[in-house]
Amino acid sequence: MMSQDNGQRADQLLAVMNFAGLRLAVPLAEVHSLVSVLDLDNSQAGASDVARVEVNGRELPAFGFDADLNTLRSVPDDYRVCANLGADSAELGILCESIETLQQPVSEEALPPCMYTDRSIVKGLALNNDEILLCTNLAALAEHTSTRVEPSVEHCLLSREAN
Amino acid sequence: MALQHQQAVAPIEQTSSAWLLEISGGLTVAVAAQDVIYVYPEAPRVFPIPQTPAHVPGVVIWQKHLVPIIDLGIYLRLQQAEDYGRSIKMMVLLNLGDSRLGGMALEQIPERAEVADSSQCELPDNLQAWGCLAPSCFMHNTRGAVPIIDLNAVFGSKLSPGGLAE
Repeated sequence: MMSQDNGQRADQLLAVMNFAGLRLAVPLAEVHSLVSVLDLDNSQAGASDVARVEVNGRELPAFGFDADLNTLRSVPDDYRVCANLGADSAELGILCESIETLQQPVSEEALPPCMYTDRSIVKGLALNNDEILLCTNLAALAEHTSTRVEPSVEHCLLSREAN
Repeated sequence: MALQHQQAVAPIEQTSSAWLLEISGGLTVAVAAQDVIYVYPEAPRVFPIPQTPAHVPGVVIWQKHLVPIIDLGIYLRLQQAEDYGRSIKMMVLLNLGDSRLGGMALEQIPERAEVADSSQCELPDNLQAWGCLAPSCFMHNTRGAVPIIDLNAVFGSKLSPGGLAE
């Protein structure tokens, strides 16, 4: 991004998850494994995760996002893949319709300060030919999914304060 | 001859060239003439980015670069984002310095103006929230008080709703 020369990051290989019309990219090095959503356990979902995925004997939370990057409460029919993210070992899963690896390294640039919000998992943007990729990473996803306050809980807290 | 000479050296006030930009909500702001590098003849394609502030409709691609767009009218609550529908009528591309660019959504085609030093004025009370974004202001003969905006404050900061830069 020309407006963010100072935020230029090194070219890296990206994996791009497709869902709800979005293209969300993560570093390829952070993609641990892929599984089908048919292998997920929906019965053990927590407060914010939509399902559980077992990776190497460990049960991990799996999350899905809609077009506004809000977390989903159920798995849409067209979300067929769970991308397990983690460097050495998987830490969480992200549901998507499909995932692909870009053949060429792409230059990601930090999100401009004027576009930044605390709640955003989008940490950068990248131009791949004529398409715009939303860039995130495992750390941002882990932080977002662990700190997210459920709307119902937030409502209760506000109601309690009001009383 | 002596009288003619006295008339010829009557002081001419120095002026600076500026662009007048009408933002959504009907307010006019000004930037230095050299800050505007391109006026879009028609609204460009804007790519919305999720989880960004309401006053940032998205980014545009300009010469293989991604440029953030700001709608100051929404930021200053002169216009509701919901009513606005994220449709941009006009846009200018602005030079932020250091090879950085920003786009600003407008209501009208920008207008050139010459601003005299003597026309400088205080920010009106109703524009006090602009303090951090507009370090100076001048009085225009038809548009009234026009804030001169600091583009680095607008694009280089995380803006809080209502006119405060963090």
